[in-house]
Amino acid sequence: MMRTRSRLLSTVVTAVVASLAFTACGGSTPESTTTQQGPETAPLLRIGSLQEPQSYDPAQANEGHQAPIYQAVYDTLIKREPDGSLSPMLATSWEPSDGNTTYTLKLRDDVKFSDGTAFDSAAVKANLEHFTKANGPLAGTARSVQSVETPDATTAVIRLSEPDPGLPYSLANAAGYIASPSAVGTEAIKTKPVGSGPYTLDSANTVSGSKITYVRNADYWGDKLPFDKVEFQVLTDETARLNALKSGQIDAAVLNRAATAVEAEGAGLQHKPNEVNWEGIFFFDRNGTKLPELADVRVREALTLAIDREALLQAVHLGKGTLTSQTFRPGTEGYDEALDGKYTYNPDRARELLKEAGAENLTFTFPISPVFDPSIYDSIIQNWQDVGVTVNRHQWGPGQAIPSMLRAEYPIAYMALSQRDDWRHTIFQLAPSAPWNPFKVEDPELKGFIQKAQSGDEAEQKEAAKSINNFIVDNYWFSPLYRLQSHFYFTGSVDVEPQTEQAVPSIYNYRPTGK
Amino acid sequence: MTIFLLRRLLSAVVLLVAVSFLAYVLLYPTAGDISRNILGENATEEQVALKNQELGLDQPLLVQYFAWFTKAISGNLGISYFSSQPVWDTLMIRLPVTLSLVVVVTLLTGILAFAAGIWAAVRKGWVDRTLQILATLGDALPSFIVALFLVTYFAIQQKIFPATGYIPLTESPAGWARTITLPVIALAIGGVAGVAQQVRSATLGVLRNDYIRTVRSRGLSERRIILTSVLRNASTNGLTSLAVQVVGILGGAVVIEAVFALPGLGSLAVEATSRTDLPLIVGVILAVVLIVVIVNLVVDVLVAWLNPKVRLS
Repeated sequence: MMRTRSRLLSTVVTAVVASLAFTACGGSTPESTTTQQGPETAPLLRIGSLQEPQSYDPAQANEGHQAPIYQAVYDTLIKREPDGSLSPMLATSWEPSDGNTTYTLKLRDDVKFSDGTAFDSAAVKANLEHFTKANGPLAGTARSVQSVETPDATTAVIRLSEPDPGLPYSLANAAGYIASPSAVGTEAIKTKPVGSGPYTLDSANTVSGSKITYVRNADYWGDKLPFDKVEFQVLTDETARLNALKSGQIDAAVLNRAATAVEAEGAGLQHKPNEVNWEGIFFFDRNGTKLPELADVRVREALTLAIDREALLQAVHLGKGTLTSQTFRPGTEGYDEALDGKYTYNPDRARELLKEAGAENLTFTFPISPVFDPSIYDSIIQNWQDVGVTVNRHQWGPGQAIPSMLRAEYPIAYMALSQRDDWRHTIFQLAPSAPWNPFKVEDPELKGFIQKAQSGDEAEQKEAAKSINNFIVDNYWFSPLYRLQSHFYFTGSVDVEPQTEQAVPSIYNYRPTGK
Repeated sequence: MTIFLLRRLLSAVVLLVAVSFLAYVLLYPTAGDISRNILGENATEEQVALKNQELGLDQPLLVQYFAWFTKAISGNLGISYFSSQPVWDTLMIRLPVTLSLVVVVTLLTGILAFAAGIWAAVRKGWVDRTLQILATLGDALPSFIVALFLVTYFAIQQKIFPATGYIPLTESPAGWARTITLPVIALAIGGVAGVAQQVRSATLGVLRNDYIRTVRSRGLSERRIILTSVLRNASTNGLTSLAVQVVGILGGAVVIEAVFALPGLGSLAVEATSRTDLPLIVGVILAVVLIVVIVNLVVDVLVAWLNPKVRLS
């Protein structure tokens, strides 16, 4: 009960803060009114990071583990709150028009980059144009951007080639990082970022492959973050991250394996549950191009019912997750709680379905990625063999799994993907052009829903998201097994709020506790 | 001696070229998906094709190797696919870390192993037996198990040494010593055991020789005999064994650097391989081969200097 109330409180506070900021109520410091008990500031925050940026050019930025490293130095046009809602940052408002093909952004006029250049609409234009041309990892998220117009210094009009309801989200991620226009596109920015963010890079104390040090940007336009200095220690090895946490050398870090997470709990480290990824079977070849039997929905259903997902969750992930049948995340419009329990273990029914579909002799090759625990594959293959399916194994080498899946080399595979909001989920995994729909499967009914989700008004979009989810679940496009908790652990010296859709929290979500 | 050195240097150069070519050819097929891995799961196939072009991966293998080779002989080893840093710069940052480990571990192993080996051979009896048991234990314990034990006790429970990280010698000698103490101990234990055995048996062999009896009959002190006649003749085996250990240390460093999060060549090799960062992998391989070549050269010179018979043969 306590927990529900405090979560409700924090949601209300977030909402109030967001709406205050949205109506531009001056430069108040709303954080001071929250229930934080620690000191206002602390000298140092040390985060254990799995990765380091490939380049500080914001066009080369990636999401996930690298997000906080970029956020420290680059402000985004729009801010993503911990619960996933969007709030103003460099842009104070963003209005769609013409069926979501134009967005008009109103911009702040009091922001300066760390090199002294003023932030204005020309900076937005320079950054977005560079972003679409530089072929970075997330270039696809701004694919719809056709041109940027700058009617005046505080207005930017983004024209799109097709309706894109996901654009505001993209502008809260890599596509929205704004660097100084004098640095955009130069060689120097790859190692020396120039942004308007809360921190600046301390190059002298930054060692490639080891440590990234940020110091406070004294002229920051927004609310100061509580830490004077932030250190990202690059710790690629899981054991090293856990040891650094246990010995107090770092304040927070993400762990990968459930077993390590249990060890962290045993050592008294803290954790707030946050389910980021969904994992399960991808039936890529729903048309039966490579595996004809897979075109029959009864075969996909049989392969789904044959898997004992509960046993897998308990045995491999030590119960740290929630069983599910859908790919949409709780909190999105498409999500329907009733669907979570739809795919239940039933090997007898699976055998029947295979017989009905005339697929008793079903044989296929199941590719195995070194990224996942081998026992996941062993269990699933055992389950399938139990209902009479012949499964051959193919072992992928390091770095081969994703390229192979996206080249449509295998009809069925096991994979984990982040749970996105409705529209980005749709264009990422479901639409005919989606990268995670490698066999380019199309359906007239689904196509209608997708069109509505793309160019409809808000109410139509919500309705369409529900229809899309139901269609996907009813037609067994995937066999999702569970939503897994990310294992992000921290010591008593900080308090951290998890971030929706991110395995690691944003840089704004840390507070000192004074311990 | 000059001809000996020149011949060794020439073969080292040939070895480096051959190794670089082999690495390129053998690793290339697994590097086929590099562009997709750089861009990640979000990218479209068009983006991947464009990246292939940018990196020159659409060229035939031999063309790519030749382009790399012509640049490499002028000292340009290319740019890492994943960090945008020149490979040379990355190696120069990582090399001191691994060299710190290798040099300290080698010196420590040399001193401890020679002292223990000679002591055991000369004193015999319980000293010899105790050292034999310790050596067998040290040889049998895998370095990463030792490392995990050291971290748990000295870093997490007692908080005497840091659990992870590296402080360069130039920044703070005391900090440097603190950060490498546990990794050095973990790496040295197996090496000391192995080399001490070699030194012990070599010393025993030398002590059995007639000329030792002759020297003794002249009334020289036992200490003098050991330091001049015995050590000089027994050191050939010990040094050769030490050179083999150095290669082993480089291998062990892969695991130890990962456990202690030391940004050295070993952990770099693991990261680069798991991401198929071809220019970086080739760079790391060249650096490691170079270290092995230099160590062997130094040992050969030392042995030749101590034992003139080797120079003649």
